[in-house]
Amino acid sequence: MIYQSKILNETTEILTHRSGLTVILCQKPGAVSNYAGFCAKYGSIDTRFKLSEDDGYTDIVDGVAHFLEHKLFESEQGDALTLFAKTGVNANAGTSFDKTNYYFTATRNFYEALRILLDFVTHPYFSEQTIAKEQGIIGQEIKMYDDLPGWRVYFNFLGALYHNSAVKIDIGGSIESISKITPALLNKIYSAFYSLRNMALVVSGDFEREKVLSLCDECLVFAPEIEIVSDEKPEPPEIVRDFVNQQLEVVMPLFQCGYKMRKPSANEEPIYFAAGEALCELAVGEGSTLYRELYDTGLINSNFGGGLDGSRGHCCLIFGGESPAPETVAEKIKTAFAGLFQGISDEDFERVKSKLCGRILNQYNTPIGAGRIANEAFFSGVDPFAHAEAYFNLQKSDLESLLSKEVDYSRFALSTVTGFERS
Amino acid sequence: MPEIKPERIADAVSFTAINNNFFKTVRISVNFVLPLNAATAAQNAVLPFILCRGKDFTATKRRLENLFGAQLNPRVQKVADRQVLSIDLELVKSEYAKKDLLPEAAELLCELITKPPVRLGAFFKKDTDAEKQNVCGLILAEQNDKRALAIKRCTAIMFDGQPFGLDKYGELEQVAALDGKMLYAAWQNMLKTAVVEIIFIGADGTDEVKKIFAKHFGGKREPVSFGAIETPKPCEEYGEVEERMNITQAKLIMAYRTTEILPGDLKAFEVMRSLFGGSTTSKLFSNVREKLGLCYYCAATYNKFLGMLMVDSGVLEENVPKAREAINAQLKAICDGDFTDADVTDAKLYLQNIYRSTESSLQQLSAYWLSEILAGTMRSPNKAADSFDSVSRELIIAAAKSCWPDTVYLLAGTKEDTK
Repeated sequence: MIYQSKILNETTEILTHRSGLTVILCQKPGAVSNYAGFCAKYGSIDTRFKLSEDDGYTDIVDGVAHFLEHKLFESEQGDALTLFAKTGVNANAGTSFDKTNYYFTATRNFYEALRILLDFVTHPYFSEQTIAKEQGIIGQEIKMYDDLPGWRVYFNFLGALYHNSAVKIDIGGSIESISKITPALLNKIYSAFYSLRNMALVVSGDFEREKVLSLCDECLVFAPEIEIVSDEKPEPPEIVRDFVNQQLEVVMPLFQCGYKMRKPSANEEPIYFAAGEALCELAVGEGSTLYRELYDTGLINSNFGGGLDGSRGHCCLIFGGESPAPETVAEKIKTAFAGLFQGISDEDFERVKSKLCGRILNQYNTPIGAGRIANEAFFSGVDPFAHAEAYFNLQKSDLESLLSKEVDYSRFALSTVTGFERS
Repeated sequence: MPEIKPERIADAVSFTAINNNFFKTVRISVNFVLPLNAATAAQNAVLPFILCRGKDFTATKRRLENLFGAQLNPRVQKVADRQVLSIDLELVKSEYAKKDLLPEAAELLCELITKPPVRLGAFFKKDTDAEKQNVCGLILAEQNDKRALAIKRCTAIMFDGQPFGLDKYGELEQVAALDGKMLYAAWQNMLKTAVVEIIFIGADGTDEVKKIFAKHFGGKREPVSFGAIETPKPCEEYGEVEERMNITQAKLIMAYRTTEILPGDLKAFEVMRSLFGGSTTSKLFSNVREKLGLCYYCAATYNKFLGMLMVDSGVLEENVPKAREAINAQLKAICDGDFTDADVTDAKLYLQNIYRSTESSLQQLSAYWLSEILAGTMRSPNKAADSFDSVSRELIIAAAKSCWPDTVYLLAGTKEDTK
C-alpha cells in the first residue's frame, strides 16, 4: 500500500514480500545517500516468551538481545563487517528496548551492501568460542556505560518508575548475566524473534524499487507464520520510589525527572505522544517562563532538555540535564505542570505546535530519519505518517485531556547522579 | 555542481552560498574566527550565548518557536589556534511553512549579533550572570564524560602553554570573573576584528540573505590577519602521564605527532588513519578489539590542523600494557607494509563514503565547508573523496613512518578501587 503525506511531502510504500517480510520503502528523490535497516521486533524488554507450539516459557537473561546483535555479524566464513568494507558503506547495528536494527548508509554500492545485509541477518552462526570472545568485548562496553553518568542517571530514573518492565535494566545486561549465554539460547531466540514475520526491512532514499524487491526475492526464504507469546508481568500505574541517587565521579550533578504515564494503545499513540511533547514544551520548553527562571538562576544550563519518552514497554515525560540543585528543579517542574491546570492560552498552544511541527519536518531531512520514523510507526501498528502528522492535527483539547487524565503528581520521580563525598 | 567559493560582502566578511534544495530546512551559519589565547578565550566564549538572548530571552525564544520552530544554536569551537564563535539558525522552508520565513529569520539573526541590549558600555548584569553560569555549567559538564575528558586532558598536556592546548571555553575561574563591561569590550572586538564566515545552505532567497548580512556587517572594520594555520612542531620529549579518578574503566590515549611528508599530503594521512583505526575493518578494530578482545572501542582520529594522530580506547587497567603494545604493533605493521592492496581499497572506500555522506546532512555540510574555508582548500566533498584514489601504498607507509609517539595519557581508577 502506498501512503502519501502532502503535509510532509513524503511517500512511503508498505508491502508484504512473499517471504512474509514486511518491506517499507520511503522514496526521497535527490537523496545523496540511501539507508537500509533490517529490524527485528525484539529488544531488551523481551524477557520471557514461548512459541505457540512450546509447552513452557523461556526466560531470557538480561543483555541477550544486545549480545545477539553483536554475534549476528559473524558467520562461518568470517565477519559481515569485512564484506561491508568491500562496498565502503557505513554499517552498524543497535539494540533498543523494543527492537534490534541492522543498518547501513551508502552513497555508492547500495545494492551490493543490501545483499550483504539481507544475507548476514538471515544466516546466524553461534559457537562457544566466538561467544566467549564477545563476552570480553561486551564486558568492556558494559564497564564503559558504568562510567557514563548520563546513562546511569537515565536507567536509575526508569528503575524508580518501573516495577516490572525490563526498561529499567541496562540494555547490555551485566557481566554476570551475559556469562550465562550459550549458543543454544541464542539459536532459540533467533528462530523466534528473527522470523521474517517478526521483522521489517526499511529502505529510504533515492533507489530503484524493483531492484530492492528483486534482491529480497533472491536472498529471502519463505517464513511460516509464527506466534510469539510473551509473558511479561503487568506494570502497575504507580511508581517504585520518588527519588534515587547514585554517586559517581562527576563535578556537576546530573538529573532526570518526570512522570510515569499510561502506555497508550496503538490508535491513541500518535496524538497522545504529540500532546505529551506539547505539554513538556509548555511547562518547561525554552519559551516557557520556568525555563528562563531556571536558566537565569543557574539551576540548569543549555544542555537541559525534555520530552516524551516511549517504547513498547514504557511511556513517560522526562526532563534532564545538569544542575547544582536537581531537587529544586524537579519541584519547580511539578509546580509548572500544576500551573497548566489554570488553562492553556491559544497563543501558547499555537506557539508550541508551530515549534513541534518544525521539529518533526527536520527529522525528515535525511533518509535515515524518514526510514526510522516509518519503522517505528509500523512496529507500533499505525500508518507511517501518523506520528508526524499528529503534530499538525493537534488540538488544544488534546493537551487538556492528556493533562487532566494522564499526568498524575503521585507518579513523579527524580533520579540524580552526584559526586563522591570527599572527607 | 558549480564551484563554491566565499564571496566577500564586507571587510573580512565572506558569504558562502551552497545551493541545495533537498532538505526541508535551510541553514545560516555565522562564524566569527578569532585568535585563541588565554587572555580572551573565556570572554569570547560567552558571546554566542549572550547574543542569542536578544532584547528579552523568553521573547526571543518564543519568536523563534513561532517561526515554525526555527532553531538557534550558539556554539564555541576550537580549530587549531583559532577560536570560532558560531551562531547557527535552521528553519523550515517556505513551501512547508506556507510563508517565507527566511527574511525575518535572517534579520533576526543579524539583530541578535549586532544589536544586543547594552547600556553605558556594558551588557546588563542579569544577562551577563546568567550566561556566565551557563558556560561554567558547560565546562563542568564536559568533565562528567570521562572518554571526552581523557582526550581533552591529553591535548592540554601535549600543547601546554600553546593556544592549541587551551580549552575552547577558557578557564572556569576566568569565566566566573567576567563582568558586563568585559563582555561588551569582547563583543566590540569580535565585531571589529574577527574574520566572519557566513555559510548559507538552501536554494531560494540566497541573494536576499546575502543583502541582509551585507547591510548589517557593512561598516568599517579592522580585521585580524590570519596566515595559514601552522602545524605545531613535534616536541622532542616523549611523555607519559597518568591521572586517577574513581572510575571503573581506564581510558587510554596514545597520541602521535606527524611530520609533513610532501606538501599537501593530508590525504595520505587520512587514508593511513582509516587503515589504522578508522573503519570496522581497520587494524585497531580487527586486532585490538576483535582478535584480542581488549576493549569495546579503540579508534584513531587525525587532526589535520595539528598534525596529530590520536588513539583512544577504554580498557581494564590490568590490560593497559597489552593494549599499548597491540596499538603500537598495528602502527608498526603499517610502517612495515604489512597490509594488502585490498585493505587499502577498503580504507579508501570507507573514507570516500564518509566524505560523500556529508551532503546528506545540513549540519555536516555546514561543518565541512567551514573546515575547508579555514584550511583554504575549498574542495567539494565529492572532489575530496575522489582525491583519495591517488594515494599510493608508499605514501601510506611514509605517513605511518612519520608518526612519532608524543604522549601516552591514562585516566584510571583510584588505586583502592582497582584492588
